[in-house]
Amino acid sequence: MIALLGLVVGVIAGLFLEPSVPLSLQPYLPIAVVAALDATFGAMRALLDGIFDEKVFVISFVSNVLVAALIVYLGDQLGVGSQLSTGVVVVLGIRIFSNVAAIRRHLFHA
Amino acid sequence: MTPQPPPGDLLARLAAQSMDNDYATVAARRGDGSPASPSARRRTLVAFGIAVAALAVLLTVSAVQTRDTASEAERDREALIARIQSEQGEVADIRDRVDSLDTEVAELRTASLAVGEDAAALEDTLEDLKVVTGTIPVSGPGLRITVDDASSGSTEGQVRDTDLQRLANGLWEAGAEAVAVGGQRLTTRSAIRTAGEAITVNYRSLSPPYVVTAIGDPQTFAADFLETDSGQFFIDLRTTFGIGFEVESPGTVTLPGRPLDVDRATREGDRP
Repeated sequence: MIALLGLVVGVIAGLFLEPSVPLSLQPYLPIAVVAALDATFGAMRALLDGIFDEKVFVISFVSNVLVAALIVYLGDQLGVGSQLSTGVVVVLGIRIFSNVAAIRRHLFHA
Repeated sequence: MTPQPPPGDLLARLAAQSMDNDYATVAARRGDGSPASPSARRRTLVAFGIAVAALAVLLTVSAVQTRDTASEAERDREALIARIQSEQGEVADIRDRVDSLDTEVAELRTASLAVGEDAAALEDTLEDLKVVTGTIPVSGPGLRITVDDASSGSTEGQVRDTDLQRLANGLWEAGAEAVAVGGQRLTTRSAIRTAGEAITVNYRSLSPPYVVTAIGDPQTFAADFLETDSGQFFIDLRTTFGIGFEVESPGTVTLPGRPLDVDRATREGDRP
């Protein structure tokens, strides 16, 4: 219930306030999205496993996004921003894929 | 709960630990621990709601951003295409202009060649006119006629300006191309007349004997001249008054030029 409410509020805020992302934060947005997706799929798998916990989700979501952004920031400062971004995307992508696979197993028992 | 993969197999470990281990850990702890207090539970739920809202904002903003960027790129592309087309049109225009200018250059070259030919013809005409009007020195086959006062010294035996005028007219009549009297070239502005005791030509005083040179056809000039009234008149003068009159054909004679100085007169209509 509260999740649905948060979802609706967030979408509406994103659509109607149209917060313009500052140019300096532009490179972090895609990475943050991927990190958030990773946290979401992890949470969905945990839900299906019956071990979902809101606190854990909040912490994993926030830390995922922050750490991903931090890595990209560091990479930018060191001049290897694109390589580190690729690394982050690869790791998170693998996690998302295997989480989705687990979810699929749960849903279809296959 | 997940089987531990061999250490060092990075991809396998990534796949195995794809779900945060915290879920399992917390679940295990909750299993044997007491449930959380209602207020802590509420805080957690609020935080969860905020986290979901943040997630939604993140996804929405990036979606909007991507769409905007895409449409912007599309706009840029269309603008570039329009610009390329307009520039291509301009290039075509310039090429057309180059072609037309080439044609013009060719026409002008032909025209200037024609003008050059005209100029050469005019130059020839001008040279001829210079000879006829007496503005440049000329030489050619002709006659030298020496006229002198009679040796008797009588007044009737003196050569008069009218005599010389008649002589010059006779030479023109016989087809002379150039005439000089006493070394003075006869031009359109020359006068032969008496001033005081002397005969002047071109305002220069002459003294006898008067040498008149003229250029004309070497075959017929002398005979033609002697057949004119003027020639006959001088033969009469010689026989009647003893005035000296000799006609020679020295082959080539040279006549001086008398430059025209037309500084003040302008053609009617050219006047400013």
